[in-house]
Amino acid sequence: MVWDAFIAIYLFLAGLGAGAFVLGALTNWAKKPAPAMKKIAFIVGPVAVAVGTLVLVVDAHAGFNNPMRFFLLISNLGSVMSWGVIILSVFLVVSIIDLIVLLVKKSTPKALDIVGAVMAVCVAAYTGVLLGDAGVAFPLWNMAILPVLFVVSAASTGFAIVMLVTHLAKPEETEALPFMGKVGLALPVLELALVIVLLAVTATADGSAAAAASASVANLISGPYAVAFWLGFIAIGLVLPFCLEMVRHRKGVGADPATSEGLPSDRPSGASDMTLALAGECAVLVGGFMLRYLVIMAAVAVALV
Amino acid sequence: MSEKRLGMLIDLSLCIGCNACVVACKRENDVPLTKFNTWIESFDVERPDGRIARANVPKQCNHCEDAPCVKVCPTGASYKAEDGTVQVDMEKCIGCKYCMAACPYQVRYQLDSGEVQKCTFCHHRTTEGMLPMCVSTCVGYARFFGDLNDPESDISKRLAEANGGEVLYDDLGLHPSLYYIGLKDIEAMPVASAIHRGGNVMKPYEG
Amino acid sequence: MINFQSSGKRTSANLAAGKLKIDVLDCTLANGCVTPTLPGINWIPIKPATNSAFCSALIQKMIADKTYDADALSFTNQKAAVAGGYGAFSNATFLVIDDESHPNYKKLMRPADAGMDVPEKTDKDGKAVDQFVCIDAETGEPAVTDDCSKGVLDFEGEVNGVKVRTGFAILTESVNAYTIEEYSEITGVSVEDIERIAKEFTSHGTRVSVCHKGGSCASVNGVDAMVGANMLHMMMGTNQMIGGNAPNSPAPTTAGKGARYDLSTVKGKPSVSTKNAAYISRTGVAWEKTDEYKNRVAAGETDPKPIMPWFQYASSSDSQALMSIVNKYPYQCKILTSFMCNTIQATPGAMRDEVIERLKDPEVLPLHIACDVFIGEHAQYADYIVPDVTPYESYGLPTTGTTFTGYGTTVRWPVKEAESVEIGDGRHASWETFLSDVAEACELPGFGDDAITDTDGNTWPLRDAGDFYLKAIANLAYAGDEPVADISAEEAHMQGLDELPESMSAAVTAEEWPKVQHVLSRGGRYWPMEYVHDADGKRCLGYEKDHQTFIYSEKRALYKNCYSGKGTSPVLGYFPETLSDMSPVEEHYSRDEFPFTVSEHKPRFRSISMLSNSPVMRDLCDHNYIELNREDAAELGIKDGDKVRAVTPLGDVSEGEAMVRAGQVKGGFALAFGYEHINYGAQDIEIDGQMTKGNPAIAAGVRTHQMLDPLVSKDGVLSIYSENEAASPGRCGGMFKIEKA
Repeated sequence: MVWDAFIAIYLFLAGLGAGAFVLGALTNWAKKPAPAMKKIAFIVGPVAVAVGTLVLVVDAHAGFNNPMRFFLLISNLGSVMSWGVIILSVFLVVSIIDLIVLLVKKSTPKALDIVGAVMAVCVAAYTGVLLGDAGVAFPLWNMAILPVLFVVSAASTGFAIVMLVTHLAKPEETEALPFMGKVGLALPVLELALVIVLLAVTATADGSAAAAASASVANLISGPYAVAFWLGFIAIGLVLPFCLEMVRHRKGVGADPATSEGLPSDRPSGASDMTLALAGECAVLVGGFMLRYLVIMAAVAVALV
Repeated sequence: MSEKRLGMLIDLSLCIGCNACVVACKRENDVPLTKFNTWIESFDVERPDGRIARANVPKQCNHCEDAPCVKVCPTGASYKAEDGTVQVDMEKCIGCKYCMAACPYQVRYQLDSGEVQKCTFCHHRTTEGMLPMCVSTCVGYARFFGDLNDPESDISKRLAEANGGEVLYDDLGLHPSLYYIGLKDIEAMPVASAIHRGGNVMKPYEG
Repeated sequence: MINFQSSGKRTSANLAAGKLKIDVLDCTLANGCVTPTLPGINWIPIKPATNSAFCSALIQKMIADKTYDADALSFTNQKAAVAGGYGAFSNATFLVIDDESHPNYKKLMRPADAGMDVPEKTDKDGKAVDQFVCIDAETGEPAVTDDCSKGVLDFEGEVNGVKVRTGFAILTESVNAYTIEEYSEITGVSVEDIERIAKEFTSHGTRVSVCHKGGSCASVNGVDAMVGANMLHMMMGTNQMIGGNAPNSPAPTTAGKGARYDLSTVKGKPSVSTKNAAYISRTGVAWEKTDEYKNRVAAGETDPKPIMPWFQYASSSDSQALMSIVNKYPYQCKILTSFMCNTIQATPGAMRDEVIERLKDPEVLPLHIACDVFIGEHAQYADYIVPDVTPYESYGLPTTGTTFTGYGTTVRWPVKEAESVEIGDGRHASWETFLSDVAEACELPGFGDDAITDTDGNTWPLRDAGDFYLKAIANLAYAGDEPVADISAEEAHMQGLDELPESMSAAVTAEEWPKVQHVLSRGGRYWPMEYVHDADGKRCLGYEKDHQTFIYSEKRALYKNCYSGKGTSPVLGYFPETLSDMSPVEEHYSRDEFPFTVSEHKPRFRSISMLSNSPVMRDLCDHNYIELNREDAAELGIKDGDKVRAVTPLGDVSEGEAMVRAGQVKGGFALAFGYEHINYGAQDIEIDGQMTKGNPAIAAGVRTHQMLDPLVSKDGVLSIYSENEAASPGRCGGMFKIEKA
């Protein structure tokens, strides 16, 4: 394997940070004000992306040993990575300014939040495009599907980390965004669908890529990464959060018939719900990392079969 | 077509798998242990007449015309040289390994210092009018080298005789400059042993 | 054999050009010219230790179809063969006494046996030479073979009242001992292939050849494999014929009485002879001729048996010498000096604890001095190790063997100063300096000042390798009709030959030095191919000289095994592997229980016992494998990469990783030798208090743990499974069962 868990950490953190920032921006449209949640999101966003970037810098150890070479990073605008550097930089600049503004002024210009959110989506998508542009070598890295899949996963993990911290720091604000429950149900389903499409598309690759493609799929569903895939990603990362959300959802519905739409704002705020929520959020984070890790590690190069 | 495009042609019927090229290359290019600029994949095959033969397929950088490594390299460290070969400027490489990830032939490796290296077609020799080390050391004269854009070069003539030769992963559309004679024939023969890289198992035989 | 690079080069080119057809009979498909797309070459799997059966099958078929060259076989002497356009003759038509009651039974008939009164013939030294009898093809009457030109090939009858047969008739009977189907079963080669190859081999006149190397004979029935190849050559009259069995690389005298220096005469050499001495390897002497035998008979023993076998026809054997040393038989070795050898590692079955313990024991071997570049398995147990120089630091004039059939010699010379310790006077420790210093200290002639004489009568010192080898190179430079040209100053400068040390140029005359440099610059001297061909390009240099093939070997007919008294076959035939008393090994152990035979082959990434210390070679190949045919593996439930072991009837275990492949003959497993070291850098070594840690990677892989000969290896004797005539160890063949480890 060319890349390893180190790069998976970066992909995971970049997605998580991007998702977190987007959620922070979305609090602008919350039913109830959620200043703590916004602050958490706006801190997690740039910090996660920055840490991820740092991981990347350390991993690129020829550059790490000769830091001046990093200035060459935007030499080749034909390279996805050069664009990635620009996107990451712009996102970091915008999100950090936004955070400073938030910390200083207690509120942020919506326009800046929107710019930041757009950049965040770009960051999330970029992590998929990065792999996708090496898809000629690793058929699992599908340019059409990976960016979407990584955006969806970025949203899941970003939202989960913000909700997790909010649950711990300011539980009452967790109800501020009424759509979060539905999102919590929708994202795993969407992610599962995308993964199925990814595997199906990969498995049917033909020509020189066919053997590597099917070996990659086999690696995941029956090979050395099967346990990590089925247990770590599918069961813990997708099915568990979905089920926990369902349970919370049902309980919420049962507890307050008035909220027939089943919005999370009507959920009981009990200790058991809190546990369920925290468990679900942790599970999403585990699943989000597993997705990046598996996509990196299970991919087989055309030349290696 | 006045531009130079250096290429290599390997007649697989003449490669006896002696690995002399591999050793010569390691010496010439100071290739670190466990890494290879060129290597030979050897394996048993069933010939169409039912007899068993030993295939030896040398591998190395294909110096693609549309090289994905060059495309993805953010710093411009990987570049197309004027002679059509793909080179790495060590002074620009940050070691992000994107080129390694993007190469379907998986011919690149990272040095301990972090930079990425691979076969250069012995750029330091060819610019001095010499042949790449693997070509000049090949005991079976299986390797040919020269300007693909010059119809009078040995390699062009040999390619013409061989109906244009064959390339690895033609369908990926990268237009490699490493040609083979007999590749498709061998690919069509059932493999009847592990695939060895040198003498080490690269892919076990599953029967 | 064609995995040798240089022969591979020419072989591939000729195959590609459609000028050559080859069938590669080998237990294991090697990397080599048998590539998937090269035309004209086939790999034919053959079971280990059955090469003589294959040759016998071909000859049976040739005789049955009468496709052999009867002309070539019928010539009774060299003159006749040369006149007939050939370069060699055979004794196929010579009569053999086939009468058990005759005192000369099994011997070739002499004129006296035939009642013929012919004058004695002598060689140039005045010694009487043997004369033989055939049936003259022209007259149908008995004749002395030198006095006719062709004999009757297939004759059986009486001459002078004595029952006789021709060697050819005996050969015919011998190769007909099995049917082609039985030979096919024995060898694993299909009947179709045997018939096809027999036809092909007889379809190209004299331009056919069997290219066989030592490995083809490395089994305990190996002599017949060598005989088989010689028979095939003679069946088509290919000896000395270009395109046939041309001699390999003849060369002028270099390290002997050469054009400039006499390097073989030692002035004042004491008149000692080894004529009555017995080699410690128990070779060259028949058991009945040994002092031990005579003494034991004199002491009243009837039919005494030696504790280890004697090999009357073998010239020498390092493997047997080693086993003699550890058994202190036939006598104790007091001082062993060994140079650049690793006999214990290279002898299958020898590298075992019991042997090593004895080798280390001063009671067994009081003094062992080894000279080597490495501390290999052999040197490890020496009392003293003299550092040696590497091939890049030393001289040699190896003839090129299979790589060049022309006339000439390659030259190896030091391209760098030796890394071994300097011993004071600009010389470095090496085998040569060790020998000359010891010789000088012992005041032996032939070393030191005035040791070497040139053709002008001047004398030269001998203290280092260059003193000797540079003179041999001068001999090469001046050999033949014309010496080589002086090297030009420009070329000498370009190659850095003008910077060679003074010690080199001083070893020859100022006149010779530029010619020596010329040879050094070219790595040897090679004459044009015409030099070894006759005018019409048909025969090889020296074809007029006697070149006789012994279709019937009188020597072998008179062989007597020292244990059972059994003889060997005087003609080619297939004889299964035997133990030391010539009893078939399959009579002692069950083939059903031990169905596999082994074959060893040269590795691509090691030498016989060296190179596992090379990081690059280890990089190319970590370890070797136990190579198994895929059908055998399937039957045993063994998968590629499984750990497996091959076990002999005596419980010796060779354990390694299975390589399951189609390129391995069924019924035999194979391994590349040069692996599974126990020393050679694999071990920790302390020198002068400084510890060098061993590298376990050097020890990787598997070697053949061959069984000892069970009949002799008892009562404390350790004796290897070996060829009864050649004394060589049973590297291939044997009996093994294979199981998952």
